[in-house]
Amino acid sequence: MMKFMKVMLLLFTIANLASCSTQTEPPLKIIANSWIGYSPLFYAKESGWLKPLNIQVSTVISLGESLNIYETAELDAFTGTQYEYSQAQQKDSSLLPIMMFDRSNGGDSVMANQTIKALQQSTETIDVYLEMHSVNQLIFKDFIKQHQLTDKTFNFINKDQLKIYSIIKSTRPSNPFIVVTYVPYSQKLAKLGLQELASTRSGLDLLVVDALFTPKKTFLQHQTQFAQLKSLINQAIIELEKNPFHYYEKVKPHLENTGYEDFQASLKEIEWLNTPLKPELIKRLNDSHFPTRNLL
Amino acid sequence: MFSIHRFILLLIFIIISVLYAVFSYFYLDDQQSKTDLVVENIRQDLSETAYVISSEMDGIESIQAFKAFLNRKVANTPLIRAMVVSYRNQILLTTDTAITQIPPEKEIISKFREVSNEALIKHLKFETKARFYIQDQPHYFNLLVYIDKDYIDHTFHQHTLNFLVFFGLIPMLILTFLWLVLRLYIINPLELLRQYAYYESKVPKRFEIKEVEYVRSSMVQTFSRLEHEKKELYKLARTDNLSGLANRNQLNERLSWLISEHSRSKSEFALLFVDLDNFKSVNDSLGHDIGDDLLRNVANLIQEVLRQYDIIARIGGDEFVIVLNHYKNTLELSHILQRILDRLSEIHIVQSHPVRVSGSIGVAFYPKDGADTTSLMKNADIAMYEAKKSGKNQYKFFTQALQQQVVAEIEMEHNLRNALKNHEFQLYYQPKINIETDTISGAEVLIRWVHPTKGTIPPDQFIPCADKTGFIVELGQWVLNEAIQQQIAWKKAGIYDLKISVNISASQFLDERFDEKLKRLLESSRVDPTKVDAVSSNNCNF
Repeated sequence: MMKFMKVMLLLFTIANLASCSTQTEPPLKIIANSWIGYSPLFYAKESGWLKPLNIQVSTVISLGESLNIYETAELDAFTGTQYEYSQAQQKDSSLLPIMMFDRSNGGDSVMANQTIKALQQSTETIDVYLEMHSVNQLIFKDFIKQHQLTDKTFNFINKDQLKIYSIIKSTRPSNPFIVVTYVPYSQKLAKLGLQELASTRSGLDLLVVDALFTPKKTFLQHQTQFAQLKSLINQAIIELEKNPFHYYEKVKPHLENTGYEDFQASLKEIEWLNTPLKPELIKRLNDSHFPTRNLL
Repeated sequence: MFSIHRFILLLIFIIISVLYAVFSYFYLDDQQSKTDLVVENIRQDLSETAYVISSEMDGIESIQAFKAFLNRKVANTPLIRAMVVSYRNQILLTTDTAITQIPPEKEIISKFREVSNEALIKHLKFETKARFYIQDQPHYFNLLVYIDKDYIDHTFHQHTLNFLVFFGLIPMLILTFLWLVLRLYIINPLELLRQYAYYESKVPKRFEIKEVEYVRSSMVQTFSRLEHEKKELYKLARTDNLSGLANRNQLNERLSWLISEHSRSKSEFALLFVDLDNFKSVNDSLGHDIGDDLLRNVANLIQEVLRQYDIIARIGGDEFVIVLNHYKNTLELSHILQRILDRLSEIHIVQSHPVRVSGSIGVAFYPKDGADTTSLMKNADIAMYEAKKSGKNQYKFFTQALQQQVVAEIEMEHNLRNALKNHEFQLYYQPKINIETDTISGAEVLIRWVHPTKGTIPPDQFIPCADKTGFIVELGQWVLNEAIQQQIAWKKAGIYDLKISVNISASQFLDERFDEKLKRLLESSRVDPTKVDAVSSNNCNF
């Protein structure tokens, strides 16, 4: 009897030690911003699918903030566009896009309190509200190039999208101004009377894709976790197609105060890229120095 | 091989070493964890603050607007002593006016991973770079955090102190206490038991630990039993079972001691050899039980007559030895001897049987009659035999004449045996004449010893000695055999068919095998038994 008790005690101790060692494995930390294209990630998180994979997802408001925290907090992966990728790659050349989320198809837009024609004719300094350290900057440059506004004088106001919305809502500036934004803020701004001048669907030549980026070393170290995450993202998109409202209810806390209608409208502004990419898209991405060979 | 003392010390040393190694590892790991936590807090503060400033500032000139923000941050965070914003190596904003210069780069920690505790305490300055825009052009400012040295020192020193107390001092105290307890309750008792087992020193007091106490009580019981058995064996080895008196071993031991004492003081003592008269007949007639009881009675009587310090020993069946060394003179000694004889000759009632015995005592004196145990005993024995020979129930002192007589008897016995072996004995046949018929009716056998040097020796000079030493049985048998052979020879020769008369000594008659030997002789020789006349003799008629 004593011998049996001793064996049981030994097994219990070993089991405890083993479980302790599992729990001490650090989680895979991912940071994302409140973008409709990353909502499958939020769905997976809210559904509790990420816990067994030991993956943690944090959400911030802006794209720039996401990149900033990724760099200062030394996280494992971040979501962003090809712009954030190119910025981050300057500091870490091993950075890779490993998972595509969506392509902006109207999701990123340029809005203003005046028409393009009025802006073209304006001699005043035009205020430009944007997240400087983000794809907004590229969109703006593409916009002024496409619409012959390069000779105008601009006053850049670097704020995150929530702040931009707050300023405009509270100050209602009368001077000409432009906002480079994206859904859902574009929908909110539209309600304040701003008109869309161009978007990734029309009026812009720029391709904007959203992906998950991580250094090569991290990718190799957590390859299985990333592969499982990819499956969950696909599953989340399936769930969205099956029951959008249920999906919305789950991801709502991560999307800034959007109603279900706005959410549904936002979905139309993006194109999911969870299935294998079309060759022409691959070519376009490669042409803009966006590697696709490591994509899951 | 270790002593338990050393073994437990070694064990405690190993436990302390292992514990301290584990504690040291845990301490260093904990220090690093704490450092990581502090650094992470600093990183978060820096990141957050830098992001707020970078996203809120509209240009360099607007940096002053963040002074209140930074002051609030410093005031709210005891870990942070000061915060500084610099741009192109110029301080733009500081919460501590004493800081007027940007510290050298080597004194600043700008990478937040794997910062050691030493580096944290040594540098105490952290920096992050943040982007801001002047219009659409990116610029960078540095945000520095100065860590409060006192806070860090206190935190880590308190931590170290806690470790020293809880993991250094307390285990040491516990182990010291354990050591003292083990020493008090295990080691010392075992050492006492070892000494007790080895030296049979004083019996240890009762112990508190059950198992140790069991060992102690078992040892005490075993030692007591062994001691008791040793005493019993010692007593048995030195005491006569029957009488409870000293036995021959004790007598020899005490006598040797007495001789050595008296040889120094050159004083005298007397050794008495006491033999009961007619004891054999008591044994034969009344049985050995009564004989044994009689011996016990005699032992008690002798003890009653003598004093405590006199040595009384039983050394054989009915033989006692008494050593007297406290008497003033021979007269007093004679009185003691007479008292012993008187008490011995009283009627003893043994198992309702009145038994009368007496004693014969031989006395030898140290050193006059013997300087050692053997000679004293031998001479007292000679004297005792002399007393017996003189009619029993009396005592005799050993004398040189007695000694010589004994020596002569021993020599005589030796010569007699040699004589028989060397055929020095001759038989003479004295005819018996029938006066009425004037014819020879028979012949009486007479023995003569024809000594090679002394000539013919008559029987009265050797028969008493042969009788005394028991040789008479052997000699008598030879005589009988020779006489019968002679009778047969004469008959065969047709000379005589005479009846021969052979004197048989009392000793021969008392010989248990006499009948058997006589029968066998008569049968083997085929002599006519009517022609052999066995006559009891008083020896001298041989």
